[in-house]
Amino acid sequence: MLPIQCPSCQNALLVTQLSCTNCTTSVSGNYILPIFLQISKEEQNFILQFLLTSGSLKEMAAQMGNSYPTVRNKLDDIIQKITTLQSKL
Amino acid sequence: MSTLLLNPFEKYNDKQLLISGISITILGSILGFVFNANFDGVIDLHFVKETSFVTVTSEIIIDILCQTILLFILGKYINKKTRFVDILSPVLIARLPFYLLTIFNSNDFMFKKSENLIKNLPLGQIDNPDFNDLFIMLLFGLISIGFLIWFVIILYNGFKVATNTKGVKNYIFFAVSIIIAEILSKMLLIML
Repeated sequence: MLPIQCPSCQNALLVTQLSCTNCTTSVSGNYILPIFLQISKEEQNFILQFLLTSGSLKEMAAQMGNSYPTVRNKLDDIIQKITTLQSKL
Repeated sequence: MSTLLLNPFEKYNDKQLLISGISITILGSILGFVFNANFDGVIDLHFVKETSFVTVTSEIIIDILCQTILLFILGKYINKKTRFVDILSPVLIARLPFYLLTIFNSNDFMFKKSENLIKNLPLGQIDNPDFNDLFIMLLFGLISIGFLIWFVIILYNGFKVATNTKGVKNYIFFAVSIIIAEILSKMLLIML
């Protein structure tokens, strides 16, 4: 699982190095994690489920065993979080 | 079990909740008629000598309408995506504690106890009440408070899920809506 927060000071983590497993080339720099990776794994799975059900909250609610408003509230909370993250960029 | 009794709104779908709410309402009408209870306000319950099924049912319908309309208006103000059915179901289900309280008037038990206490007052025997009756009334009062708290918890949990409400301000608006619904329902029931 990709960590997104510093375990020491809780600050947001950056990607500073990417490597090629084929030719061992490394690329260094400061790369901000994509917004999708800055949310929790549970929230990422929720968004994936949303896509896989073609945006049907009703179907998601049936699959997750939750009520429709619970699922809608979860979606609204994630939208709020992503909007906040986007504004910080 | 606590989910079922306090917050079924996160797990069960709207159809299940609505059917449960309607069933509870029908049960409430029957219990109110059988145990001679009047629901003459959103958070009111009085035991009477005799009542009719039509009276009890009309009272319940007016109480439900007043509460639902007010909470729906508040819900839309908090979150425009609030659905009417998501407000109606908690209002229907939250009234279960009031309906269960009517069972205490089995055989007109509570009505007779209160009548007994009131009967002594004009005779100037207030300083020598029947302590048995007083204790029972006090106990019933405490149980009623517990059931009222249960009602508020169910209603608030349903409202919270329906509107995704957050913040102290909305708790206050929620409490005020119950008070306004009580006043409105009482006024309507007096007029009718």
